[in-house]
Amino acid sequence: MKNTIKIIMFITIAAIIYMSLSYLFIPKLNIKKYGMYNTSMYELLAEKQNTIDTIVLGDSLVYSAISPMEIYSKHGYTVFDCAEPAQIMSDAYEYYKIAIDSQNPKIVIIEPNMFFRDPKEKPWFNKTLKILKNVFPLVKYHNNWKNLFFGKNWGHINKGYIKILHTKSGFEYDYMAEELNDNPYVKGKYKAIIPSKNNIYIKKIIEDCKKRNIKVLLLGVPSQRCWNYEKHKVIMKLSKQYGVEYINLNLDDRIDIDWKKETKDRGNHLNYLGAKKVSEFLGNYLNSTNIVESHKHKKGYEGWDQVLKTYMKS
Amino acid sequence: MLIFFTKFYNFFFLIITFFYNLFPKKARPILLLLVSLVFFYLMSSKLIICLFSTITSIYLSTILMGKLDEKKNELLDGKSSEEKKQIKKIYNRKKKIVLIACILLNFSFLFLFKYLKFFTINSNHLLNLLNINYQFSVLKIIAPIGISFYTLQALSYLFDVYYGKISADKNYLRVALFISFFPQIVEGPMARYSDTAEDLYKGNDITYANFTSGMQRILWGLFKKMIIADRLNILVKMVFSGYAVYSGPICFIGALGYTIMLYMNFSSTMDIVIGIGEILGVKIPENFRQPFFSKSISEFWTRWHISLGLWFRDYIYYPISLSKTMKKLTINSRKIVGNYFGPLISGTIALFAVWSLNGLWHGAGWTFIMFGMYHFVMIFTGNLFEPLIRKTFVKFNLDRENIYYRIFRSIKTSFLVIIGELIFRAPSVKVALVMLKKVFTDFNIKISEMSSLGLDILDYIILFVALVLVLIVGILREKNISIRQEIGKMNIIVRWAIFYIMIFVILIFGAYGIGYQPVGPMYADF
Amino acid sequence: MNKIIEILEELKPGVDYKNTENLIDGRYLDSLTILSLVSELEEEFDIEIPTVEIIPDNFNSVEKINSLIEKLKED
Repeated sequence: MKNTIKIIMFITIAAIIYMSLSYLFIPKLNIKKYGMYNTSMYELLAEKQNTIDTIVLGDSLVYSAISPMEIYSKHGYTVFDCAEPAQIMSDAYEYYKIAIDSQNPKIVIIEPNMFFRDPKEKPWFNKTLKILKNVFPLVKYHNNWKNLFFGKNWGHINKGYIKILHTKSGFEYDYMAEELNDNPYVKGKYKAIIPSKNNIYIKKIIEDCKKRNIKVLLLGVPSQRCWNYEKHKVIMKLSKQYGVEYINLNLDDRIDIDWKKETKDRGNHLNYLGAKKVSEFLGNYLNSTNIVESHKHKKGYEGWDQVLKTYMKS
Repeated sequence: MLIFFTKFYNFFFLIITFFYNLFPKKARPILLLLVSLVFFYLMSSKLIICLFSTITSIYLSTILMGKLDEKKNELLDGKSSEEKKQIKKIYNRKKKIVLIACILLNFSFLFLFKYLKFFTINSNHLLNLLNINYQFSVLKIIAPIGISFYTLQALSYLFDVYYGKISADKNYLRVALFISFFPQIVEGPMARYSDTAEDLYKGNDITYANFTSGMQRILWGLFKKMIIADRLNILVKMVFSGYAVYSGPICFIGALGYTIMLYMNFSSTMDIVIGIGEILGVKIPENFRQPFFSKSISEFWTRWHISLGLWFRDYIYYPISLSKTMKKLTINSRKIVGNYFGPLISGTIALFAVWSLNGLWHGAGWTFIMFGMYHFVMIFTGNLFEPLIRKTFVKFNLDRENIYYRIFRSIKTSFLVIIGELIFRAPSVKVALVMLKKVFTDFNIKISEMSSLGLDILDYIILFVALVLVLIVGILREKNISIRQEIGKMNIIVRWAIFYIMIFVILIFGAYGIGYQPVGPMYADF
Repeated sequence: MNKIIEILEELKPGVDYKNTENLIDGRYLDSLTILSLVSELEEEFDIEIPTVEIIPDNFNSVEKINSLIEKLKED
C-alpha cells in the first residue's frame, strides 16, 4: 500500500514537472493567443505571425511531397505544410482557420485527395493519434534547449514536412489511364464521390479565400495509390465550378516521378527524392505567379535562414 | 516520438511488468516464453523455425547425453577396472557423436544465414582470379534476429551437459525459455544455464524493491544511449563515410567517437537487459566491467563483452590448449624454453583459434577477420614481452602498481582498442588501411573540421559533461561502491530529485527527434 | 598444500599465495599461468584435470586447488 502511494506520488510529480518544462520549451510566439494545447497541436503556430506566404492544406500526401525548406533555399518563398495524416475536411477547415488567424497568406494550396475522404473514417483513430502526438510537447520540442538557453527560438526545421529517405518501389502501371484494368492497388470499381458534408467545408475555405483575396490552387500530388482518372475528372469539374486553378501532378508533363526510386511505400507516398522534385516544381510555379516574394536574408526572416542551415545538414 | 516506446522490445517489457504479478506463478514462465516467441516472430517471422530447431536439437541432444550417462553408470556397476575403462570409452564416444552432430546442425544454420554470402562472394572472386568462367549465385538471406547470440548460448548449455558440469534438463519449457528469453536474444549477454534458467522458470513476484532498482538501472542505460551514443552517431557516420576528405586527427576522432559510441550503446543495452532481469528477479550476468581501465588488451577482453570472452575461453581456449597433445607440448617445451614461454606455445595456438573465430563471429567480412587478427597479434606480443617488461621494472626498482603508470597503461590499451575499432567499423579493409595511414602519418589538425562533423559546440559540451559523469560512475564501480545502494540510503527528497533530474535530462538533452537517428542494436542484423 | 605453493611460486613469484583468496578473480593468475599450472599439477599428483574443472571457483585459492586435487585423486 505504502509503495503504491509512493509510485502514484512519483508519477504525479513527474507529470507536473513535465507540464512545466513543456511550457518552457514550447514555442511561445503565439501561445498567449492560442494556449499551450493548440500551440502544440498545430505546428504552424510555432511560426512568427504574418511570415508565411503560402500554406498547403492536405493529408499525408502533402507532408511527404512538399518540403518548404527546399523552396526557401532556392527561391526564398515561405511555405508551410498544414497537413495531418488522413486529414478529414472538418479538421482541415479548423487548421485553415488557425492558419488564417495567425498568418496572412497570399496563396492557399489545397491537395484535393482529402476531399474524397469519408468524414466518419476512423475519427477515433485520428483523434487518438493526434492527442498522442501532442500530449508530448516536451518530447516534440526538446531540441529547443539549444535555442532556449543560448539564443532564440527559430521554429520548425522542416516546416511541416516529414523527411523519409528509404525507398520501397511502386508498380510500373499507368494509374491515371482513363480505362483501368488490373490495377494492382484497387480492386473493383473506383469510387470518386465527394461526401456532401465535405462539400460544405470546401466551399467555406474557397469562398473565404476569395473574400480575403487569396489565390487558391488545387494541387494533386503524385500518388499511385490515391489518385486515378475518375478523381481527376471530379476535381476538374469542381475547379471550374469555383473558378480556381487546378494542377494535377499525376498527369502533368512538367514532373516525372520514378516510381521505382522515389516512393517510400510502393507508390503511396513519395520519399525525399520525390519530394525534391515536387518542391522544385512548386518553387518554380510560385515564381511564375509573381504573387509571393523572396524573403531570403531579409529582416524578420532570420529564423528561416538559421533553420535552413540545420535543414541542409540533416 | 519516443523511440523507446516504439520498439517492440520495450512494448513487451511494459506489458509484462504491468500484468506479470496477476498471473499465477506457474503460468509466468509460459507467459515469458510466449512473449519471447511472439517478439521473435515479429522480428523474424518464419525464421522462428530456426529458433525451434535450435531449442529442440539442443533439448534432445542433452537428454540423449543424460540417458547415455545413466546407462554407462548402470553398466559400470561391479565391473573390473579394465572393463570400466572399455565401457567409459564406448559411451564417451557415443556422447561425442551426439555433441558433434548437434554442433554441426546449429553451426549449419549460423553458416547459412551469416557466412554463406561472404563465402560465395569470395569464391566467385577466386574463380575470377583463376580465370574460371563460373560464378555461384549469391543468395540474399536475412538472418533470424540474434542468431549469433542464442546459438552460442544454447551451445554453452550443450557443452556444460557434455562435460558433466550440469545435468540435462528434462523440462522442455525451461530449456526453451533459457534460449529464447526476449531481452537477451537481441544482443546478449549470453548467460550460462546455471545463471538464469532456474530463476526465469521460478516466476517470482515483481517486488517494489526489484522494480525500482531495475528501473534505475534502465534509466542509466537510457542516459548513456540517448545522450551519448545517439549523439555521437552523427559524427561517426560523417567521418566514416567521408573519410577521404578528413585529416588524420579527424579520422582518429571518428574512431574514438565510434569506440565510445559502441561502448555506450552496447553497455546501455546491457543495462536495460540486466535491469529487466532484475525486475523479474533474474540475475543476468554482467557483460562489461569498466573495460577502459584495463592495463592490457588481454585484460580488456575480460572486461568488455565478458560473456563472449568467457564463452571462447571455456569452450575454445581451454579445450584446445589443454588437449592431450597440447599438454604434452607444454610439458616438453617448458623444459626447453622455461616456465613462461613453455605454455605460451600451446596458449598461442589456442589464442589464434579463439581470435579467428571471434573475428568471424562479429561478422562475415574481411574487416572483422582483420579485427580478430589485430587483437590476436596485440595479445600475443603483450604475452611475449611481458617477462622483459617485468624484469626491467624489477631491475630499475620501479613500482608497476604506481598510479601514473597504471593510467598510462589504461590510455595505451584504450588507444590500441580504438585502432581495433577503426578496423571494425571501416566499410572495407581498403578504407581501414587508408584511415590508419592517415591517423599515423597526417597530423595536420584543422579545428574548423571539428565543426563540420554535424555537431555544434553545445553538443560537444553535453557529450563532455555526460562522459565525465560516466567516468565518475566507472571509478566508483571500480572501487566497488554500489551507486544505486548509496542513492537508496539518501533521504527521499534528494533521491527523487536525482531520478527526476535523470529523467528530464534524458528527455531534454537526448539525441532524438528531427535531425537525429538513433543507433540500431549493434549485432541485431548480423 | 606446500607442494602447490611451491609450484605456484616457481610459476609466478611475488604473490602471497597462502592468504590470497581471489587468485583468478583478482587476476593474479592469467590463462597462460593456468596452462602451466595444470600440466604441472597433473605431473606432480598423477591426476588428469578435465577442462570443465578449470573454473575460477576451483583455482581462486591454494586451499581450493588442493581440494580439487583431492577430489580428482578419488576418482
